Parts: sequence; C-alpha cells; structure tokens
Amino acid sequence: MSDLRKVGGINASAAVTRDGLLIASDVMGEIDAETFAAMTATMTGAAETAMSEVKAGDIRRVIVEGESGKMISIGAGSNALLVVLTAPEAPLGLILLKIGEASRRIAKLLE
Amino acid sequence: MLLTERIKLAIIREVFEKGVFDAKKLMEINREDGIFTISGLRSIIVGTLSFAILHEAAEKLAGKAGPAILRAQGEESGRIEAEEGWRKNLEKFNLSFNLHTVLSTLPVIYAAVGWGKITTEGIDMETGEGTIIIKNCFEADAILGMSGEKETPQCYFVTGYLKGLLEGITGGKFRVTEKKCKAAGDEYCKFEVRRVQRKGSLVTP
Repeated sequence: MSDLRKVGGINASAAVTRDGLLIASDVMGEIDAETFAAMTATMTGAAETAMSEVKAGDIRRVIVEGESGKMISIGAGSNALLVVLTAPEAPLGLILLKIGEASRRIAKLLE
Repeated sequence: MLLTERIKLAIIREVFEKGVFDAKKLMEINREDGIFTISGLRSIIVGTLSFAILHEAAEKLAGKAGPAILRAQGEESGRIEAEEGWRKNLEKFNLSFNLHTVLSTLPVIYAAVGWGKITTEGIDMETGEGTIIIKNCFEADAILGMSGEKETPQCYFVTGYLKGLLEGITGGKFRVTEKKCKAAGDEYCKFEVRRVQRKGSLVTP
C-alpha cells in the first residue's frame, strides 16, 4: 500500500473485501479507513449490479471524479478491491497502469 | 467493583432470568389512533423475516457489498443503543456505564426481547476482546427461514450492532467477525471481538 503513495498523484489507497471490510490501508489521518472500505465496496457493488442490469458485462473499474480528487476502484481477485484516491490533475494513464499491477499483486497475496 | 453495584447487577439478572420482567407490560396500543408504543416510544412490530428481506434488497442493489450496508445499519443501531438505552438506564439505577456492567446483564436482557441466547463469558470484561456466542440468533434464523442454509456467516446486522455497542460503551475501536453461524450450518453463531487501532495511516489488521 505504501508503495502506491510513491506514484505521483496518489494520496491514499486501501485494499478491501468486496463485502466492505478493510484488509489494509494507507489513508490520511482524517479518513476513517473502515468506513471508507464499506463505502467504496458499496459504490463498486452498486456499479456492478447497475451494469449487470443493463447487460453491459463485468466492470473493469469505477472512476469517480470530484472537484478535489478522483477515486478509482478496481478488482483485486474475486474477493477484493483496490481503491485509490488521487489528486484532481493526476495522470490517469500512469495511475491505472500502476494500480493494475498492484491489484494483481494483492490478488496473488490473497489466493 | 462496589458491593452495591454487584448486588444491583445480580438483581437485574434475576429479574430477567426469572421472568419477572415482562416486555408486554411496557407495551401500549392506542387502537383509535393506530399508535403502538413500547416504554413510551412509538414502535411497530415486524417479523424477523424483515431482516432476511433487507439482506436480499441490499444484495440486489449493492451486489457482493450488500453486507456492508447491513453492518453499517447494525453499527449505528448499536452505537445509539449504547448511548440512549444502556447509558440512560444504567444511570437511572446508579450503575456504572462500562463494559462490565453491560456485558454481565446483556445476555438476560436481550434474551427477554428475542435476540437469542447470548453468552458473553468468552469476553474479557476489561478489554472487550474475546468471543460472544448467540444461540438461536434472530438474524440467522430469519435467513434460514427465508432462503435456507448459506455457505458463509450471515449475521451482518448483529455483527455491526456488537461493534457499534462496544465502541459506544468504550469510545475505542473494535473489529467484530462472525466465525460461526447457524445460517451456515453451525450449531450457534460465534463472534470474535478484537480491538483495533483507532484511525490513521497504514492499518494492517
């Protein structure tokens, strides 16, 4: 988790179970990591069911863009998710590449 | 613990265990206005199957994250109950609001209102860590009744409730995990309780 912070623009990250429990996190002091885990799993789960409802297939990632940052959630195996918070101007291409690698590592660790 | 406090706790346990306390006595029905109250609080009676329906609805909307919604609901309920129920009632009897008083009376009180048979003997009364066992847990029975046996533990609301209650009493941070569940084929539901660090960076539970 702490390695991801070295990637420019990533401010926080968390590995969470798909049912919303925290596995590990590197978050800022003001964020309650457990609440963040439950919220992001719910967000991703709702996106999955919505896409399934419109028969759009499995989701690759969820990206939410806010005024002060972006939140990206990506699958890390069948039971976990990797969620990162980035600065608003962070380079999305590089970040997606890095979190893709990290998510595969997490999936392997959890196997 | 003071002797008077010990005696009072023993009396509370006796009152509930011997059936002197009858939840029905606290209920009032105003048929004219269609209002039902328990201890003066506006209430409704819904079957425990409502919990199973909530499970299904949460899973329909949030998929695999459905349990997170139920745990959050339970956690908030537990926290409010600690403050509005336990603190106020213990203060009314001039008893300390702490883990020991709550955990030593909780089993008889919750059994009297249908939560199941709770055992808190596996819990360290000072730290709150250990195991809580619930036989005939209402949430597990509701799931079994509605959709049959599941592969994994199902008492998400109760898991969240215990966490919220313990956090509301102590101000600390807890992790509650359901290790065994009647809805998953076990004889009873078993919850493991651990303290975790409060907040901050790089948490590895």
